[in-house]
Amino acid sequence: MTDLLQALVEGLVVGGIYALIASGLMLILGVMKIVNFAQLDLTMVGMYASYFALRWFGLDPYLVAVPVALLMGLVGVVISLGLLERIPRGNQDAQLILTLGIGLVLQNLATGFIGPRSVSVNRPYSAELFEVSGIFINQAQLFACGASAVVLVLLHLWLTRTWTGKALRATADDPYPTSIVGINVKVAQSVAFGVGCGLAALAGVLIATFHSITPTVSQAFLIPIFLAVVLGGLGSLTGAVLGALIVGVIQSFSGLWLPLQLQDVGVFVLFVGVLLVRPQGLLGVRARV
Amino acid sequence: MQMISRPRLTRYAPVWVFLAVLSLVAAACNSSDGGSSDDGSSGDVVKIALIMPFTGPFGEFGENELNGAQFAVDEINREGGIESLDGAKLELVQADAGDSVERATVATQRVLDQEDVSAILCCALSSFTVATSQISERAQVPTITDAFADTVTQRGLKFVFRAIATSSQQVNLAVPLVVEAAASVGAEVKSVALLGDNTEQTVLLFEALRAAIPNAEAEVGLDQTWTPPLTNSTQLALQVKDDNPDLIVISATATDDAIALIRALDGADVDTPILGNGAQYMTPQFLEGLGDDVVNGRIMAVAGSALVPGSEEIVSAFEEEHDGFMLQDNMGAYSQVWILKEALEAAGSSDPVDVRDALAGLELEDSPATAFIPDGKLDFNDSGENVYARPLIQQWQESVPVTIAPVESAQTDPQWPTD
Repeated sequence: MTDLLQALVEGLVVGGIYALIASGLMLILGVMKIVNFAQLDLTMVGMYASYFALRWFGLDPYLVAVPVALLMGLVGVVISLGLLERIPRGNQDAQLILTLGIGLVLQNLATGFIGPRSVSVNRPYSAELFEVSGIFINQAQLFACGASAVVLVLLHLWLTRTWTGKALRATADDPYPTSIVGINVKVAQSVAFGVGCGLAALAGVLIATFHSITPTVSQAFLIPIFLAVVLGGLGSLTGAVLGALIVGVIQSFSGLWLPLQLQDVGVFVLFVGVLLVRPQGLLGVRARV
Repeated sequence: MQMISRPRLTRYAPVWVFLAVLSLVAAACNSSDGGSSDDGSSGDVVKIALIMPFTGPFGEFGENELNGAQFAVDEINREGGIESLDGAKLELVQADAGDSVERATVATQRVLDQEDVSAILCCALSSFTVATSQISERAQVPTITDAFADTVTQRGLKFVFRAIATSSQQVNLAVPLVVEAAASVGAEVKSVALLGDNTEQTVLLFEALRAAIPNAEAEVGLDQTWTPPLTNSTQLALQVKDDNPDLIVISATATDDAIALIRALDGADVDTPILGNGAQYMTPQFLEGLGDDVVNGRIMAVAGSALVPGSEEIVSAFEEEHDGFMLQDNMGAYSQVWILKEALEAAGSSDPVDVRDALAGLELEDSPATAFIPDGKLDFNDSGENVYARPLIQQWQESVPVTIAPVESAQTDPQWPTD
């Protein structure tokens, strides 16, 4: 029983961190109809920002999380206005290649300027575990999950209670009538892209507290995050969070019940099952945010 | 909303500019991929292919190998190049083996198709080397490697050479040494946990360990392998805690996994000594990632090349140039370039087949080529293995890797964590 609880808690904690990246990816997808393949490379940038903030200035990652997220959010707005807006609407091939290209540039810049070596943020809480009734939780992962939950709640409130958030949701629903009522769709989409990029970088800062960093670290999260998005249902922010939690839990239980060599098999089996039974994903009714 | 009046080219200008910058950046950053380093000499050059993983999760190995190889090339060229070839200079041709066997084989094939190389240094990872050496064998170009797996040199190939100890040689020494180290501080090693990924190197290493550990009057306890990347390090650490072994052997090819696992072990208050399987456990990044308290007197690693008495001068020169201590991969690549230099001198030709024959007949002693090999001797047998090769054991002590075994090559005594 303790093993099951251990796996469940660990899976929820990891899934909660995945949820932050997945929600950013979903926000961009919902509002802009663009799959941002550079999302996880922006997470990598956030991880390196965390590393260098500690190394050069001695700043704890949690002190730089918000500034890094804001900065990367601005970078996202610039990318959106300067590059994505230049691509004809509906040209998904060009969008795919452009975001893939941005990801490759970021990876190569990191390799060129920082090097391929693995680096780590080593904080007192990076390795320590909390123990509650025989259940162990890594402190850094728990803190990151808590921060992720707070940000996700704030994101939900922003999207549902503020005029800007409602404008984004309206744009996600249908850009044309949205523009008729006076909402600048271009600005709304750029804001969505910026927020998505900021969330990715913020997640990177948090993840860096317990995960080593390399220019290609995005590959470690690529499958879980995209699985979470598809599993939850394309276009649904709640679905992305739910999908991320499910992926985290399934990964964790796979580690418990299956040999470690098959740790990803459980997730893929679930994924195939969902595609067969409910191809639109768990909450994917229509594109919405 | 749509600005159809603007000329198409102007409208998309930022995209074109971005793509152009992307291409330039990619080209600049990947200059290691198929590029070559030129020392500026106008005379003949002898090209050596350096096929290593410069990008991806194993990129650290490639960078370290390059630094060591380039240091040796510069040294040789400064001293006049290859004397028997009228002072021909050495030139490294780099190719990126990336993160998979497929990319490594493509890189090898491309180098062989496009460059007139006399030999290949490849590939740090055993699984890569096993695959690429098949290609170089067909092309009749000699490969020198510091990959550990026995299979690299035990398939009847005639163009593969290795100066350092094989996996099974390492296993046979490592276990008795650790048992001996424990005994010297009154501790016993009765149970050993094996934790590693499922790469070729680990699979072969663990096969050998499962056979060797009972011979050291110990038994294998927890025995787990994973497909990298490791995603459940805490769960694995808790399994280790339950198993309570006297020694943990970790064979993680990716440094990320090793750091994540050791952090999890530390978090679970498992302070059992750890024996790592390779060079990545003895790097500054490893120290930075885990901290002095975790590594000192606790983390050990099996090494093919390491600082031994007599190699201090080379190490000092390297460290002066690179502002950091000389790593195992630096030493391995340095030795390999010098071995090739000696073979080229003996062959009097840069033809790959002549170089291969010269390597097969090479007998070296007290040369820079053998500076980091325990007995300082090299003589390849019919399989391409150095008959004098023996492994070394390093341990973090006072935040520096030191050689603790074999005794005649040791810099200091081993340390063992005590309660």
